[in-house]
Amino acid sequence: MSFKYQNEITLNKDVDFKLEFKSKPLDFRINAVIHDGQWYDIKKWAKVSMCKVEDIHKFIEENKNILITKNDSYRVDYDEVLKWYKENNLSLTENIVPNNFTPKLWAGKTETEHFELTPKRIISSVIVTCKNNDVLHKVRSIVHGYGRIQHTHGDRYNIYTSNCFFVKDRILSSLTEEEKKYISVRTRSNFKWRELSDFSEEFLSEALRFYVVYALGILKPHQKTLDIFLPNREDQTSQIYDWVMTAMQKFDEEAAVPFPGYLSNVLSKWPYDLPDLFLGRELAKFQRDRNRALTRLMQEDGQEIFEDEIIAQEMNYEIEFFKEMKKADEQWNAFNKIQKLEWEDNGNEKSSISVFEEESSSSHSDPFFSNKLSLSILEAANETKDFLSFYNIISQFGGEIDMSKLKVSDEFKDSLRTHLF
Amino acid sequence: MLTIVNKFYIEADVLSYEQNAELQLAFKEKDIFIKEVYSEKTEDSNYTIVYRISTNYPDQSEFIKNLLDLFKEYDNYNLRFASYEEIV
Repeated sequence: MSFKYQNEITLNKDVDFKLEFKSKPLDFRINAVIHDGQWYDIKKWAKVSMCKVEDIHKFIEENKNILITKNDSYRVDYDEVLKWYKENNLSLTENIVPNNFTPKLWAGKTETEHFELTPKRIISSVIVTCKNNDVLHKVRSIVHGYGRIQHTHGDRYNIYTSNCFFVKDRILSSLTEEEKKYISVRTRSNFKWRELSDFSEEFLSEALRFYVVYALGILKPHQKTLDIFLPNREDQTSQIYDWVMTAMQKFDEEAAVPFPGYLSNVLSKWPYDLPDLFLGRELAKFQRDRNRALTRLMQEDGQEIFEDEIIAQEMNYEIEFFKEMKKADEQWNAFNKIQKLEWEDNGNEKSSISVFEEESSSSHSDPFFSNKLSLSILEAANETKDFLSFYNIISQFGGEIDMSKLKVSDEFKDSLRTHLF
Repeated sequence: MLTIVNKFYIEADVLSYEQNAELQLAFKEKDIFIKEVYSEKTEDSNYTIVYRISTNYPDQSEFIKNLLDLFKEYDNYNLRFASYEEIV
């Protein structure tokens, strides 16, 4: 990763930097924000510039010649960005606005201009789900020359075409009744889509390089979900590339909003599709239904172990189907655990990547007692406000505590005894 | 080998990753910050989730109070402290 690139992807959130920016002249702040080439509505522009909305209105009145307007949003073009940075003797790779990226100028245009010049087009598609390779091969030959077939996930394929009804008819009339048993065909007409190949190669490469790193930050809250369904780092990166590319294909340039905002929004939702994608809808649904049923049963009966028949009944599943899905679930879990074995780059097995090592003094032995003890410790800490004793006690917590050996105050011990017994 | 035990862990028994998400949201709502999450599927089809918690708060009293409220509110998940030896 080059220094320039690192500089681009960094957001400066430093408090001193914010104060420094705020101390700059009003005109500089307003110009600095709009000259990153992104779309701003007046409210956001004022917020980022740390000024009043009236100041922005005044600026707009006085600088109509440099501003481009759409849907009450404003931006400047590539030449204006370069001109302003040069006039002010500023580096294009240095953050000048708190929490904002440096101008994304790729392949001779701003990012916004690239999207504007690569608009989404109205197309149609035929969605094919096919579980038989021979039939799929035949479908490929049937649609050859009439549409572009693309694998989406699992058994699902999209055929992008100008006339989805024609392509659907062509597929169905060319397949035998036997072949049709393996396939489902749906149409989706008149929606907007952008082909990645419509972008310039240089822009696409720079944008992907930037946004995959950006996405890694956005996806941090979903890291554990990614680890579960995509244990391999390379698979995770591929998935992130896929999401960024899909966002670039779906992003509506007419909305006059910045692409990073759109990407953040979709990336906060798409990881939730992973269970359906990797488990299959049926198995994902089974897991959800079973968990709900178990919660209900536990609340009703106060027990924790139930026979399969009772759980299946609570789920409204036939017992045979329940057992079939349970087996599939167990197989998936077994496979997932195998996938989770991790190795260091140097080939040595990680010494302690998991916190579930047997040597660990975790409280697995009796969770109920550990829960009671933990609650009592918290009550004692809350009562005595002796936080040093609190941290000392929990740093040695293994479900059982020998208080005579602990470095905790007598007051804390007394309080703990009171709450525990 | 050096053994370090200096991190703050909370364990919970949940039935699903949805419950894990619910619990994580509850931590967030009480301004308790999770640094890492680990999970293990146990033999009885439940999950034991381990949360590594940040202890860096300006008001420790508020932190302990929030933690206590959380433990009481989610009592059915057997929330408990845990320590793990991290061998480096």
